[in-house]
Amino acid sequence: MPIKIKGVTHIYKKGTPFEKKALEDIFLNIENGEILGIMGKSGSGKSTFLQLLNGLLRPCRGKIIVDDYDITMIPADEIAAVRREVGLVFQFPEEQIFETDVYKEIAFGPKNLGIDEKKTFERVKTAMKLTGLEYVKFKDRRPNELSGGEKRRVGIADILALNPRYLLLDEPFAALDYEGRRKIYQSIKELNQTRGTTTIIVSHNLEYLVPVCNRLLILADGRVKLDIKIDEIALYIKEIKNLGVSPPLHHEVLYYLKEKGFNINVKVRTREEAAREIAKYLGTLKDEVKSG
Amino acid sequence: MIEFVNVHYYYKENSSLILNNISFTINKGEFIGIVGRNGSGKSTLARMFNGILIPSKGKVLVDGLDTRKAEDLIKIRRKVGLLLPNPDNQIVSSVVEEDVAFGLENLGIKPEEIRLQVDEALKLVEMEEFKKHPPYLLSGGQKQRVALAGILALKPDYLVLDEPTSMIEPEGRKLITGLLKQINSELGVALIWITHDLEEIIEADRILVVANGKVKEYKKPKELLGKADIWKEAGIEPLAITQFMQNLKQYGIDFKPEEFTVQEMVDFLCRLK
Ligand SMILES: Nc1ncnc2c1ncn2[C@@H]1O[C@H](COP(=O)(O)OP(=O)(O)OP(=O)(O)O)[C@@H](O)[C@H]1O
Ligand SMILES: Nc1ncnc2c1ncn2[C@@H]1O[C@H](COP(=O)(O)OP(=O)(O)OP(=O)(O)O)[C@@H](O)[C@H]1O
Ligand SMILES: [Mg+2]
Ligand SMILES: [Mg+2]
Repeated sequence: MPIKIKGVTHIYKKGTPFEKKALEDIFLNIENGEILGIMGKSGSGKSTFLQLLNGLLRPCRGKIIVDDYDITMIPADEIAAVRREVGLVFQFPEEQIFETDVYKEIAFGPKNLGIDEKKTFERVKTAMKLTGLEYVKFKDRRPNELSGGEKRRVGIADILALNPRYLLLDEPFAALDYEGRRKIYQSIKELNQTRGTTTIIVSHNLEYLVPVCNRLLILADGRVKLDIKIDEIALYIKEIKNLGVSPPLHHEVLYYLKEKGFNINVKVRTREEAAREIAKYLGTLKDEVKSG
Repeated sequence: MIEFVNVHYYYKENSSLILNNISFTINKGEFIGIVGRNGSGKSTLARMFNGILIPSKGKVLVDGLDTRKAEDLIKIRRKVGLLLPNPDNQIVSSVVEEDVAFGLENLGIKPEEIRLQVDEALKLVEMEEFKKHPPYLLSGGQKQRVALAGILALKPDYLVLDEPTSMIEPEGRKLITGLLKQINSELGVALIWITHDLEEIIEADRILVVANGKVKEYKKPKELLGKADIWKEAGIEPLAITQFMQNLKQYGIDFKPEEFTVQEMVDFLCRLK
């Protein structure tokens, strides 16, 4: 069942000097199995959007329908059920980590769901593997004595251990090294393929989203300003730049080549695909590759 | 000049060494990038520049002042500004402008002077409209900007930045990197910039690579660019342009190993048409 967002507006601190309309009149459907990337400037409403989707915030107006339930109408004491289906990894891991060792921290969620010790153990191990945390090395460590990237991984593992059907990640790649980023890409894809986990990723860097997402939203001033498939980026370079977002380099190159008269397919996602299209056009592809 | 002299560090007695005999120097006005994998010791190193952490063995000297000496520490903290990775650990006041003023007040500067410097710093990071805001109502990237303004206002000689733009979008990032580089070149403030993103420090004078508790390399970016194994060890993704050139090469389009901008690459490909 997809997520349907119908006319959602969120205003913080209404009627105070700090009143802020963070989101305005959002209409959006998110299909099952989608991996959606969200970008936008500081303060454009990205974190607000994620928090609305898992019931942490309630919108001032509009409906958010998850699995046919309007979660804006669910009573406060039942919202926990939404949160385990829609898992949210916070922008700052410190906001969500509070246990005294890494094992307890990641086990907290599953235990809370009433899952027995043995299965909890399995979940913790799997979640640590998915985030590239060596079990023996990290299980007894104090979370507040970890490095930034290690904490980030624990924050992600926390939520993965809940086996959520919807995974919301707020800047998951900030603080991660390249290896860590690739590990998370791989895990998102794996969960998406094996369990159909629908994933929404907020990042400030579009290059980080391209390897894993199939759809891109750009928010500005609380509104959706662009909603395209990832392989359409090269068709929207101007619009993307106008929204203050740097497009991926290979998409920008394709866009300029097309402008300079290359009759070339620019609907690609990865760098490799872009290189292949350029080579095809310039005739440098070997014959056997070309026919494929 | 900042000197790390045979610095060793462990967090607890008998636990393993995080930093194992590190020595290097940074000159006034230099722009130094620091890279290394998660857990390699960068933030540990960062906290030694202004004496938040003291070496377990060895010493750190800032313009000759020793971080181990209590009487030197106050002077050192005036010279060295440290921006922490999580702004929540940096922001102490309940109103944005008070937070930016906090460090200045501690230095005993006159109130009217403080007001000017606070306004200037907030303007630099484009946060002046949030002057009267409580910081906890700000978004992640907005907090990161406020924390930076607080350090900039102090006008330190050395600025240690631990992943300063990890949550700031490209345009804001350009603004802030531009700003920092300007401070570096015009005011001669040294930048010590920790990051996982090579783009941010490609214009650095030197890049220090930390791996396994040691300084693996300390060279000009140019001297390191072609060395794939170094970047791998540093947990750094090669530049997008480097990767794209490799992809093109795979498909038979050969580049001389030159430096390219997007436009130059486009022009080059057009000539092949
Ligand atoms: N609790 C709050 N009270 C008042 N205003 C708030 C609150 N939380 C956020 N805001 C404001 O709402 C707007 C949207 O904030 P949000 O955190 O959703 O932005 P964001 O897109 O996630 O930004 P960033 O990329 O910097 O994290 C911002 O202008 C922010 O200052
Ligand atoms: N307070 C602490 N007590 C004990 N160990 C610590 C503490 N802080 C960090 N460590 C450990 O020291 C090592 C170096 O951590 P540090 O934070 O310096 O790494 P880093 O290079 O900044 O990594 P990252 O890229 O993830 O931010 C890590 O293995 C970390 O787990
Ligand atoms: Mg945010
Ligand atoms: Mg760190």
